[in-house]
Amino acid sequence: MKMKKNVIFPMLILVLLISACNIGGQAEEVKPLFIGANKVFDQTKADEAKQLVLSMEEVVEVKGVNKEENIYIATKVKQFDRFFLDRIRKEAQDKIKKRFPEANVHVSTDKKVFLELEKLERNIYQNRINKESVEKQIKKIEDFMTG
Amino acid sequence: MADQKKKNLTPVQQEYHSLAKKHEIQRPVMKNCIKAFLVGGFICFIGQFVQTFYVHFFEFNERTAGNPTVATMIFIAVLLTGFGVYDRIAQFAGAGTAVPVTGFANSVASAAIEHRTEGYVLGVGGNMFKLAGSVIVFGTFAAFVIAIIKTLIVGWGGL
Repeated sequence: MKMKKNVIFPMLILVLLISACNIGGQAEEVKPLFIGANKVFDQTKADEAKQLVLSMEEVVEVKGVNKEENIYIATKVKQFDRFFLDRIRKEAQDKIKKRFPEANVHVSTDKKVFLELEKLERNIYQNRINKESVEKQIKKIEDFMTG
Repeated sequence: MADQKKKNLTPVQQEYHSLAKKHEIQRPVMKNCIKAFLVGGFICFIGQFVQTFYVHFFEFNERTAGNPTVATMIFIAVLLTGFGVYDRIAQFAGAGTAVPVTGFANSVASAAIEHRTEGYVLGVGGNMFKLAGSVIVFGTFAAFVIAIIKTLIVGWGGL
């Protein structure tokens, strides 16, 4: 009986580990929200930047907003690739910079920035926000990116 | 058992040693490791949960959320130590509860509680860091050494 218990415990752990890897392994790519041009700020640049960043293999979800020449992008990165966040951020930045050489590109992988951009994106899309509030929100997001 | 020491023993003593060794209960290292891994991981999971909470509901980003998270974890650990729950968990999990920051909080709080009868200055103040002191000393020393190594590599190697 005692012997049996010794076998069961490691087996249980093994099963848990394997099944957990299978569940978490496949991260699905989420389609970004394309906002378009006729909103408070023209969002075509952000839309294009989102498409560019999402084409990267490590990125599963992307949110972004632009205010004229300032593009703000936040990404969600696949579990294992989170070890290379620095490289991914730089790659995404270069990619957008190549497409829009005159723009100020801000890329972040921070969760808070992602959440705030998601909220702002939705508000702009549904026309529930005016120019000043967008500017205020963007200022806040910029603070989160640096601080 | 070292060979040098074994030579000094009489044959009867050697025989006894081998007999005692046979009956000695084996330390379940593997099982302890797994327990520590799981419980330590669970503590970190709670920490992650607290961090996510701060990111979602307060004005913290991922980097700045670290400070209030650690403070919360320490607060919980000290509370549990005071209630005597943390010792029970530690009895089961061993290193799993000692390695995270909660173990450090526990070692400070338990030493403070233990020496309270000796007075606040010489008792609590003097003995609070009896266990945690070594962590601080070797932690700062290790940080110092690593900082020197990094400075040398960056300065000379140009990495």
